[in-house]
Amino acid sequence: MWRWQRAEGTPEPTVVPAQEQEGRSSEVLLNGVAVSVAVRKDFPFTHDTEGRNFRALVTLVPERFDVARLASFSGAYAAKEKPFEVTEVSDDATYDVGYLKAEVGVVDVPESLRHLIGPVKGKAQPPVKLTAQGFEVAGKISGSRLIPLPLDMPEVSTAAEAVRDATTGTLYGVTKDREGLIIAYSEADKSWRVVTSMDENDAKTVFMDEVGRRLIMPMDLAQRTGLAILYLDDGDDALVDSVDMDELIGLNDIYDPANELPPTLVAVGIDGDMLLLIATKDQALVRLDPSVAKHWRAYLVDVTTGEVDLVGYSGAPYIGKAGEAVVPPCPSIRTSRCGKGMVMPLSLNVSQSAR
Amino acid sequence: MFRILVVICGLVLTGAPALAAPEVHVVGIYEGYGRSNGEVHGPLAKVVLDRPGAEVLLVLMSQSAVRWDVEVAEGRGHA
Repeated sequence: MWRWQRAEGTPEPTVVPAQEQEGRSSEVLLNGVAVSVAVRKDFPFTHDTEGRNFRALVTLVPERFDVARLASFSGAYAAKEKPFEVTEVSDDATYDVGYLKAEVGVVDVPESLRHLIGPVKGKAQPPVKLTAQGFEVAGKISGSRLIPLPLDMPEVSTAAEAVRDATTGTLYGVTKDREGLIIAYSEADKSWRVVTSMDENDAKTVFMDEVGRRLIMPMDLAQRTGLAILYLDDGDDALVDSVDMDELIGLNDIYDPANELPPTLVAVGIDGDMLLLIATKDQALVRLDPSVAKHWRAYLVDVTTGEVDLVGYSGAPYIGKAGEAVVPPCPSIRTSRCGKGMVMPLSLNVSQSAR
Repeated sequence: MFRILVVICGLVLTGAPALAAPEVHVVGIYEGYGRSNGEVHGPLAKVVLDRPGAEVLLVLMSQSAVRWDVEVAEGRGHA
């Protein structure tokens, strides 16, 4: 009979295959010997160290096996003939479950902004929006009213983010059609105008900084990591300033960069030049399903330099579809207890027949 | 009396070797490779494990079914 034996002093490894797709099950050969192992379906699948499934993996796998952290991760879209080599314990800080703890607290968040750190509270309807028909302004008593878009203004084919400047009674909408335009309507003299072009930069959201007299527009992160800023008191010389932001640490943890659009940056408050941004799911999705807002990151940005600091984050991992199906109690490989319906990792059966 | 108790507890705590936590290593792929040396075959993935002296738990993760071929560096076969 063929037998396999480790060098003296080296414990036998435990091999746990995990597979997302239904159908044929994975198999394991250990030093040429087929071994009987149960295939797990309850791990968040990933082949990459970027994205929410990797974050779910580094959180849930250690939890289920009762260890502090992953020792290493090797991955690729497709395996090659050259083997993966598992030779060392990685010191990569992102393998730590709470790796973001070290990133927050570096800067002081202005007192006026602290209460805003958290999930974005989606409104059922935005107070003002710009549609193909014109500005729609929500009213508390009389319902929403429409200010029709005249024919001497450019067409608006996609609903655009809009805000109201309470100081001057002006409505601003930022279109995403073609080059993108900032369109304004003055309630005082009932006049429309195109303020300036966005030069093909897509503003994802728009924030009115009443004190600083500026519109601040976080860009679509699929396009670039930056802010567009319009200084309102510049009148006819209005140009959109562009500020590139530093890397947004921890952003990849709340989406799957390979398969999903990036989160939306929502400006929720400003103190001087320090802007608080919450990265979250697109607001239209949040309105449909408020639960998706629970995965967020908070960033404090200096709007003059683009310097960014992470100042808060949601702790629970955002689990992909494979991990979402089953989140069982955590068995330890050092105990024999196992919850109902659980598949325990099996030790290798060394008496199986050779390949 | 108290001092003796502390000593006994110390013996109990340190007498048995603590159970070391295993190292959990993960390999993740979307799919295996299906051709080698001109031969077409089922999806394969190879892993070499070289962690002498360590208790290892190896999670082999794939999107679709794969035959995982694991070579343990310290292993040796014998009849």
